[in-house]
Amino acid sequence: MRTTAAAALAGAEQLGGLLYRRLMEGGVPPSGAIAGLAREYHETAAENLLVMREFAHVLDQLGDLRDQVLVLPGAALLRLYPDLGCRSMDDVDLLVAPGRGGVVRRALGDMGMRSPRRHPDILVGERLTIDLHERALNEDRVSSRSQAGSLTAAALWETRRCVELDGMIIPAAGLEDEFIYSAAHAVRHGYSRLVWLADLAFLQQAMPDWELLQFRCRRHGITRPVLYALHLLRRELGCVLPPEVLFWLHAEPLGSLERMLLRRAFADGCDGEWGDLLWSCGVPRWRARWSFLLETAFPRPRVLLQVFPFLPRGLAPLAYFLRLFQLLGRGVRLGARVLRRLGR
Amino acid sequence: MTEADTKPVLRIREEVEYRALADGGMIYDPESRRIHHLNRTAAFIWQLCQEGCTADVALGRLCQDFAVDRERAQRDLQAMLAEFAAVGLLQE
Repeated sequence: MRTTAAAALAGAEQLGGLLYRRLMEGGVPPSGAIAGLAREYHETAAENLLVMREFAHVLDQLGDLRDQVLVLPGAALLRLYPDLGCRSMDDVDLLVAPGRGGVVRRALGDMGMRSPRRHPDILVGERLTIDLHERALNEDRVSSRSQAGSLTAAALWETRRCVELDGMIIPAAGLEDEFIYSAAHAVRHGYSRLVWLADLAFLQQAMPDWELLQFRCRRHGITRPVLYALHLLRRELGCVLPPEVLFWLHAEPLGSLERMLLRRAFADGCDGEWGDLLWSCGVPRWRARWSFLLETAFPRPRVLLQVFPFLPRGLAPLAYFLRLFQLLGRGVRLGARVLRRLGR
Repeated sequence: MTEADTKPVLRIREEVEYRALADGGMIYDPESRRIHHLNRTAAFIWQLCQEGCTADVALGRLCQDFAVDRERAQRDLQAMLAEFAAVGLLQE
């Protein structure tokens, strides 16, 4: 692949900074294409530094409440990357201890952070945006998601620990739980961002105890997304997995539907269409699986109004018609892609 | 040896933060809330300042690591220190 094309792809996937770093380490001479990557690298480093400074201040101001929060991946995973310029962050996802969401939200509000309309769990500061979670995988938004496994705050608090990120100490989940969360998050969104695979690759490199990972998968009831992630790491990123992981992949092979959906997720440019279908494969019973898919397609009004923010609350039922058209549109786009592929 | 040879090159303001990057470094000044990007040479000089090197030691390290003569090293060092001072990164 030519440098220009690689640079453009990396930039689009928010991995331009990482590519630039690797090119510098490899002694690749500067060129026009690399200038763009350098710009992204420096901007990412600068932005991340400013966000981290603001976040450090917020953690400081939280005081004792700091024990009631945990930083979820991606921000927590910045520590695994070579430096601040290698991975951009949209926001900092904070998981709150059970029952403490209100008090943490108020504390952040007292610091001057404000929520956009219809998004009470998002708090925006000067450069920092915090996304508050009371359920790690947002099972409170789509309750049937818990049928495919659940990362409860109580379970994540079992492995909660302090890690260093850019000179500050932040509370994070255990490494195994971070892998499970990242794998589940990536499949939920249909692997639509390559940066999530990069996260998993760095986690995989840092993983000390694969047996513990398997134990934590059983603890959370989330195994399939982890297996998908490992397959993708091996097949798409060429990661070398240790023998115990290869044994695990062999012992729990993917079904033909899962293999097809995983291939599609990547073949279609990772635009996220197949994520929910793949995620549903982790639901053990057919009836529960259909219930999962139905609620994912048509969640409760509060969630749909976030998807269609222009709709007044009084017209919430209309959101279901809009959602139907949205899904039909996606179906038509998918069908067109399949037909184009068959035609080649 | 003169007094100038034993004094550190220049003192950096304590609150200024530095981060090494692949192609140099980055400085954050919390007072002005500005970020300054440094190329490899500038980052190298900054780190010499952080280490509290004297002018003589700094020149020697520049000549060695960048394979330049002393005169060129002197010019680059003075130019860089002047820039650091101009943007307020050094102690008064």
